[in-house]
Amino acid sequence: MWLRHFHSSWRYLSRHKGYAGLNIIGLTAGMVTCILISLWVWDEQHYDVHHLKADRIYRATRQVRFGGVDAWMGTLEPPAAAMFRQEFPEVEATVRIRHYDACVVRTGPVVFKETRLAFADPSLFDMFTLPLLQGDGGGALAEPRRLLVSRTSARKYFGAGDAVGRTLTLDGMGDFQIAGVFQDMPAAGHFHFDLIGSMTSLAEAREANWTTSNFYTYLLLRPGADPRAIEKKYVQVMTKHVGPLFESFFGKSVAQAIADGQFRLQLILQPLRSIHLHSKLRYEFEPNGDATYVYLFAVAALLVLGVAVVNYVNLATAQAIGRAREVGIRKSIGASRSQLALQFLAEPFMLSLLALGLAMSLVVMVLPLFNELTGKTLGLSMIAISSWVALGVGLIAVTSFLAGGYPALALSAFQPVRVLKSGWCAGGRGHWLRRSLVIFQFTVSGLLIIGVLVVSRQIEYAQTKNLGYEKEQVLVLDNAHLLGIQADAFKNEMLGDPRITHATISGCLPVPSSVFNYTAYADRRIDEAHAIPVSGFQVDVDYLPTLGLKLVAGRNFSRAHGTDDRAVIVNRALARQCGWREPVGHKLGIPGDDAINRGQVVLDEYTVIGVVDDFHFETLHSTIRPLVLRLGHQPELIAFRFVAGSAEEVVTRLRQTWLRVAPDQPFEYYFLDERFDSMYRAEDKVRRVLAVFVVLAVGVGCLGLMGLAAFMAERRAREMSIRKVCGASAADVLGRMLREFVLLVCVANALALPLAVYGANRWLAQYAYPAPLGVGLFVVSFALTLVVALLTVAWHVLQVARADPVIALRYE
Amino acid sequence: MIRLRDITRYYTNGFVKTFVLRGVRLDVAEGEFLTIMGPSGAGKSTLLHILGMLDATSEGEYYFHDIPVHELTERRRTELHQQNIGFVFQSYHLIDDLTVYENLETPLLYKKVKAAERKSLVADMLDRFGIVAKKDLFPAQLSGGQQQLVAVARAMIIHPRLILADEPTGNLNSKQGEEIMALFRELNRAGTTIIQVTHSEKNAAYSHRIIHLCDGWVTGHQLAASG
Repeated sequence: MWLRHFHSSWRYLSRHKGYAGLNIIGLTAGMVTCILISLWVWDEQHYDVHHLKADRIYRATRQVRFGGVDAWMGTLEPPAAAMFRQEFPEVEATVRIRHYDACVVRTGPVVFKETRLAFADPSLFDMFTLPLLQGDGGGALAEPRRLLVSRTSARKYFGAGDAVGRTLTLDGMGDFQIAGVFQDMPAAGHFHFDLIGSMTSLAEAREANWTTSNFYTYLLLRPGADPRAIEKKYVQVMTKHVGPLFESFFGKSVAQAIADGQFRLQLILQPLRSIHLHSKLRYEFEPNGDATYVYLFAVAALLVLGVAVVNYVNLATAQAIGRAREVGIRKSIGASRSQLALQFLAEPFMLSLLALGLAMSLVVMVLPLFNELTGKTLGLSMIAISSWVALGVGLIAVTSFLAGGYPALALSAFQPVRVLKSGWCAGGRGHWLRRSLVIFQFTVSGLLIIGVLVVSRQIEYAQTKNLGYEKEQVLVLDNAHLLGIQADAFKNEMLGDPRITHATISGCLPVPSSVFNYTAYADRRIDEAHAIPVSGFQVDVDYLPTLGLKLVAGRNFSRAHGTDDRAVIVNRALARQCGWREPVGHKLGIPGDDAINRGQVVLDEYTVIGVVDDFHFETLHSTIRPLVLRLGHQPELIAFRFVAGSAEEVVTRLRQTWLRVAPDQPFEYYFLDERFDSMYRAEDKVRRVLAVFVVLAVGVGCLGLMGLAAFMAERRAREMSIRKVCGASAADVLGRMLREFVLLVCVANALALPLAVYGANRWLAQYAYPAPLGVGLFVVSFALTLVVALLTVAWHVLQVARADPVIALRYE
Repeated sequence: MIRLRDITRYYTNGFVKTFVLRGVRLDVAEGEFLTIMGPSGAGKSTLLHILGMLDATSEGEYYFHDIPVHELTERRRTELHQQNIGFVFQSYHLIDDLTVYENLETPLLYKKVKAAERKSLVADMLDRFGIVAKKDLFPAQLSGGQQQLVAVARAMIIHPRLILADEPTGNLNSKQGEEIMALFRELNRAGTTIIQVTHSEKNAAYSHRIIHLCDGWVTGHQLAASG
């Protein structure tokens, strides 16, 4: 019997190729979207699962309130790991990881800048599953000056030759001997290192220093241990270790500071597998994923499939009128309702089967494109065959039942007596259903369009907002430290070029670069109320003019003032927080470098000589925080401001000079505005993926609308002909036919509006500086959906409006 | 075989009831050939559909072999219909997407007849109606008379005890019409009960008995020429 159902469905579909085509295209698009997004979601949710002990590994992070500012920090003090092992019996093992995101590494003439260098405790290879190709991981990391390299890095430095036993020089850290080679870390992990050094090589790792925290610390808990219990005991245990130090610092006990609400410390153990999607620390190893986008994209994919399913329901119920006679005949020769319903379910089943086949081949074809779009390396073999089968069966079941359910019920309910007599049965219900479904489709389209517009506007806003500095016409030379003591000479030589107006040597720029975060004390008063967490930039005297920063009070650093070593320029945010009305002349206490190392606080005194207008030195996600500029020699980057239009010549000139001064060193540069744009790469990715969804949802929706318009044109041809015979003009007829579609689009947009406003506000809440939501967005979305809808139906409607009424009426 | 008692059928349209049949009382014996005549809108087709269990009654009782059809669920009605009744329509009503062979086979599928038996039954019918050569053609490729022939064959394939024919020759030329009517007479002589609706006195002459309907009332019984 089933075979017969398929057989007759096949006949029907091959006779109505347009109808079948529209549905197959729609369903295929929906399924491709669902499959690709499923792969993506699956990948996002399976980070770090390759570590066999993953379910017992936690990363120790802390939420800290200090000086009126809350921060969530991922790094701990050097002795913290040992403390966990001693004080918490639940902890079986610990690993500390010290991450270096910029280090120049060389062997002979081969030089690379490494961004994925880390130092780790020997337990790294016990806790995490990192297969070694050569050497003994734990043993190697137990000795100083040992290095393990990834397979790719080994090839990069040594080609086909053996890497083990060779030496790499890490700039500023000395020579390291390679003791092993590990497999490249899988893409689905929250960290990827190419070089792993032994922790014992680092002096700071060996100190019992509780005043710095640079170590990501991972805990392996014993089976059955409760992470919550550790979190609860943490403050008490910490107090035991740092209580006296804290008191000498602030003059009150930890308990007292907590009671006063000035200080808060909360340990949060992050389960390893949830770090990728749920951890949002200020500093992560790499940018993490975001659970919100996982849900957002999953919903968007389902909506696209929903639009395709709606197409089927619309077209099938519209077609039903033509099939009423068949239903009548079949009932009159003895078909029961359930037999008929099954027959009409066979059709969407077959369509979805075809669509799934097409979708799978399309997925294979577009997967590389999708990977490019999302920056992933997804593959079909990523999920097991059984999961594929489940996905396929699920897609077919969902689409055929959702799509076929209503038409099957509606068709099988036709009364044979009526349909056989009059030839068809016009159902009022079906009409309303179709209208609601079209509204649904356009609501989805409207929502997605507004979504893309909001994201685009935020990116554009960031790019055009007055940032407080001038990001155009600034070229940044990377690796300036390779010039060593010649950096200044290099800078001065370049300043001789008329195309270069300013140049500054610094490690700190308002794009991702080095930043020091520490606590400064207003007016040198060491107490909680005057402690201000600040970011610190080390700059030279040319920093302000090169970046175009505006002084609002006081003066810039100057070589003429010998005392500027103890001078600072602060931003307005800092002046505000200190409560200074006339900031110039105030004193600022900054912990000296030596002081911290001795485990006690000695403040160096600095005088405020100038106030710079607030500028965005971080992304628009965060508010402008207090910033301190100090004179310092930190030759990491050299920024050049050049005359507009001379970029190419400047680069050429720079390269020539570089090759002369440092012939063996890599010449790397970037433009400040490009680097700035890259800070919004995550947003850009979201925008592009959403844009694809928009095209799919709108495109699939239009297919359905086109089918519907064709059907409507056919049905109303007679009515419109009569109207024309009675004197209606083509324009009247056109208006009458289009009115309904316009109305549907209006209703859909009205529905999309509140949903979009809600969603957009939720999304924009992550920005301290959100782009304002203008009416323009909604007008654009409305106009776009309306124009697309009208264009889609135009052809069929025009046919009717221009038709010769005699032809339509002749066959009555 | 059939007993109708005070059958009334009306359609409610807002607050207005439109009566199609009023208090119809009719008995049909096994093996009879009955004609229903009357002007357009008299309720002939409705009566036929009620007899064929495609339509329900508004009031009254319908016994088919003493089974109270008016009390049955839709499912039981479909079953009774599947076992006993074949329909023939004025406009043939073959399924356009199916071949002659498949059109004949469809009622058997709904009756859940086994494949082997289906094959032999369809072959029998094709043979008996002389349409073997046409079995792979689609309805649109046949003449009206041939289509009606297939429709009758389809009605006969389940060996119904009752054939209901709604103006079976209405769309045919006179020669084709006579052939179909001759076929009905033959079937009737072989034992099948036949009820037809027709305007044509000539067709009515094939039957045993004629009832006249007007405005939903039965206005007269008459024995036909052959009766």
